[in-house]
Amino acid sequence: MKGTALVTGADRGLGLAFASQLASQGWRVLAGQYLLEWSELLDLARCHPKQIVLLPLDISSDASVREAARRASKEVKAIDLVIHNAAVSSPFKDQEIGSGLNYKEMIRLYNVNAIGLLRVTEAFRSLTDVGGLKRQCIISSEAGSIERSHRKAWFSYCMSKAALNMGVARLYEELRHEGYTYRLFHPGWMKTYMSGVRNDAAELEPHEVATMALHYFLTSGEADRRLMMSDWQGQVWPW
Amino acid sequence: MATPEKKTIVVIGAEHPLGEQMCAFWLAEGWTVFAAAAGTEGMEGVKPVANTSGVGGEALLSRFHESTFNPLEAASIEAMVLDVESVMDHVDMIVHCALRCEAMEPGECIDSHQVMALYTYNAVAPLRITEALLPLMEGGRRRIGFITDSRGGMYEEVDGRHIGYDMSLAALRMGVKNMSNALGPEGFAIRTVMLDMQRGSDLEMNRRAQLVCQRLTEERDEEGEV
Ligand SMILES: NC(=O)c1ccc[n+]([C@@H]2O[C@H](COP(=O)([O-])OP(=O)(O)OC[C@H]3O[C@@H](n4cnc5c(N)ncnc54)[C@H](OP(=O)(O)O)[C@@H]3O)[C@@H](O)[C@H]2O)c1
Repeated sequence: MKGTALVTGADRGLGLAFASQLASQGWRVLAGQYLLEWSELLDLARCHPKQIVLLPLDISSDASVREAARRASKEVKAIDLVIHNAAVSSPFKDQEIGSGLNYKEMIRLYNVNAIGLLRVTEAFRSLTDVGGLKRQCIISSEAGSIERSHRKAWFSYCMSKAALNMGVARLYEELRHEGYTYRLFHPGWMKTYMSGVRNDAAELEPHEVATMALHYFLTSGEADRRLMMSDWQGQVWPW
Repeated sequence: MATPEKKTIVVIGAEHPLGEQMCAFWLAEGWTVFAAAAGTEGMEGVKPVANTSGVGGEALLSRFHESTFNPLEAASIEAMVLDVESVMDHVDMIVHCALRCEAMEPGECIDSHQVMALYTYNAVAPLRITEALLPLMEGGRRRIGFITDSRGGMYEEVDGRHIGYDMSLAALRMGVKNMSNALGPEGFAIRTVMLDMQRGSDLEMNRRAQLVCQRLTEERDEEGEV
């Protein structure tokens, strides 16, 4: 095996593409499974029975993340690569201030999109600390760039991704001294399931993005020396 | 519609030393001030400082109003807005200076509940309060100020002990940016003033409050540091 990777939100969309390509490249993949009734990940696991380990994982729950880490430690001795991919969007995203913002959604999205990173990082530390590569890859979004923010709405999602970026910046300062390296990535507009159904109007296929992202995640470069948010075209985004 | 002559401001977080000093500043400038304490700490400190503004007697009674509310509860925010409405027919300016800062002890695990609590208080509540007060701002001068902590900057190489706090500040800045994008074209001036919150004696606080207040009334529409 090339190494062991953990992918959160691997049921569909970009996460599934990561799991599939990593398995094809010879990685062992701990595939975070959130949707119990979605068959794509199960089919993938059947194709790669030695490489894909299904790991029930809800990153919005402390208990679920801890239990997943406990299960993972029974399967593997170390994790080399973590892809923090799982996230949610909101059906109320188009509301502007003054029209009744949905504050419950602000909490729900933050819990998954921002705090999920912290839960997973902490719970899996005993496995990542002894990994060979010590690489943490975070799927963020242009929507988290405060400087480039142009939206009048999307409060919950943008706020959660801006906070995610800040969380990554602070973890980076703490963990780089322990040999961790980081890749912060904006994947572009993809034909995935963020709205609940596959968005065929979008620009990019998730498997195309996964290929570009994995190249960025697994090669050395400037990102080994400083933290930055790059997109699928290699462009750097301001915070 | 002509701008009303009476100038009115709501200070959220008036129980904090900076909030108190800002109340005193606006009172001295002739504004009618609604000092809202955002929490349970009470308003004991506000009145005496308001007195030091040099405004006393009848004027103080008629131009200084106060209340305490819970910014985490919708019903409490609504009640605060009703209180504001009972003493002001419009609001010219809102200033938010209620921030809660908590850090982890060295070696302590990240507490997801604490991270969420900081976000709810520091980022969600200011948006919620602003939205609730917006109808009262229609006929006013349309200014909204956010006082935030300069350590919310992404480029700073600081340790992770304040991770939950720093994340909440990033979320707030993003929320304010989206709000500006929406309300700016409708004539709202939205300012963010960054302060080094860990620094400053009480004496300095007075001077800093003056600088912040000046920044908030400047015509330039951008983030600034004091
Ligand atoms: N799609 C885009 O255009 C776009 C643009 C910029 C950034 N991104 C980012 O790209 C990443 C991948 O998203 P995607 O586009 O592939 O979306 P997706 O198709 O919805 O995939 C995300 C997966 O994560 C799962 N998930 C949701 N909540 C979870 C939780 N609490 N714990 C674990 N898994 C959970 C989702 O399940 P459900 O389907 O049930 O929610 C879904 O299977 C996300 O971080 C997203 O923010 C996407």
